[in-house]
Amino acid sequence: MTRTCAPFRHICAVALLAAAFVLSPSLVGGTVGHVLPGWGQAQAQSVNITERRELNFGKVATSSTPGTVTISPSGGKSTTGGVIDLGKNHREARFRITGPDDAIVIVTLPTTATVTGGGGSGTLSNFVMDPPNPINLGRRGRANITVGATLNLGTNLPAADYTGNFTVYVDIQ
Amino acid sequence: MVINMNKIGVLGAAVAAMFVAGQAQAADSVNAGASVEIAAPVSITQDTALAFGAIGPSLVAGTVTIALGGGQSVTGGVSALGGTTAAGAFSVTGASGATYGVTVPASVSLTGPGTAMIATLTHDGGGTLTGGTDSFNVGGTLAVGVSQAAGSYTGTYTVSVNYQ
Repeated sequence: MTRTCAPFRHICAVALLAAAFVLSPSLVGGTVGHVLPGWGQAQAQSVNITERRELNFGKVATSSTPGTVTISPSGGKSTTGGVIDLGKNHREARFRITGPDDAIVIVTLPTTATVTGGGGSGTLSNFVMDPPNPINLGRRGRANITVGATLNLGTNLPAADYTGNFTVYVDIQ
Repeated sequence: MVINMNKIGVLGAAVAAMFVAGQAQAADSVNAGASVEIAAPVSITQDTALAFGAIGPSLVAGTVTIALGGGQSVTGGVSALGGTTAAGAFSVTGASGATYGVTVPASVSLTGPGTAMIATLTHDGGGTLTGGTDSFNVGGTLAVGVSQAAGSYTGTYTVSVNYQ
């Protein structure tokens, strides 16, 4: 009798505990909680990144010569080749990272991305951020980073607003 | 013996559950936006050709000048004989509010029945494309030789514009 019941107790215990820990992230919503003893280890690993402002290269004109427009992590704008800077509202991207107090995180930027508009396209490259990796979330468990990139543009692109997306990853080291 | 096996099984399950939950929360990502406004390219068209009019040469060399405003004047042995006179007129279009520059050659050669004549050129182009457009003129001074052979003399010059 004892031998037949033992396997069932084993399975039940595994199922209950697994359910509790898998569900815990959705219950705490990414915050660092102090809900129950034994759950802390899973919650302490929570990290989150949100976009605060998108990367905007402002207004440029293309010509018969290809070129680039670059936004630095501090928001500076520069052009090369046949690309002409026409100013207007260029901004670096801003992100907020939240996680455990004093956690060290690594941010991974893409190597390339594309913006399209009006039948034309441009390619983003050389993503850079400030501060550089690794990033300490400090006592408040958060950090802001700024991101810039270089947009490579071809010749005589059609006039339009070009838009695109890129993905930024964050991992606790 | 049975109780001991159960404890080991429970411990193993707990460690596995923590590992899975921790991994799921140790990383995050965000899909961010990027944008740029590509302005219309700057372009130029000629509205009126530079014309020095009809002139009469003589035994004395001279010049005929078309001012930026279109007025004609002569010097030396050159006589003004009417005809069509006009400053070159050009229209520029592009991004509203953008500044542009103009490149005009320093001179142009006019060829015809006689010795070619050289006209030096001036312009008042460049500035802001208010409302996306602007216009400017090209004038010139044509050096007319002694007893320049009669006939029609023409030449072409290239004007270019660019954003600045």
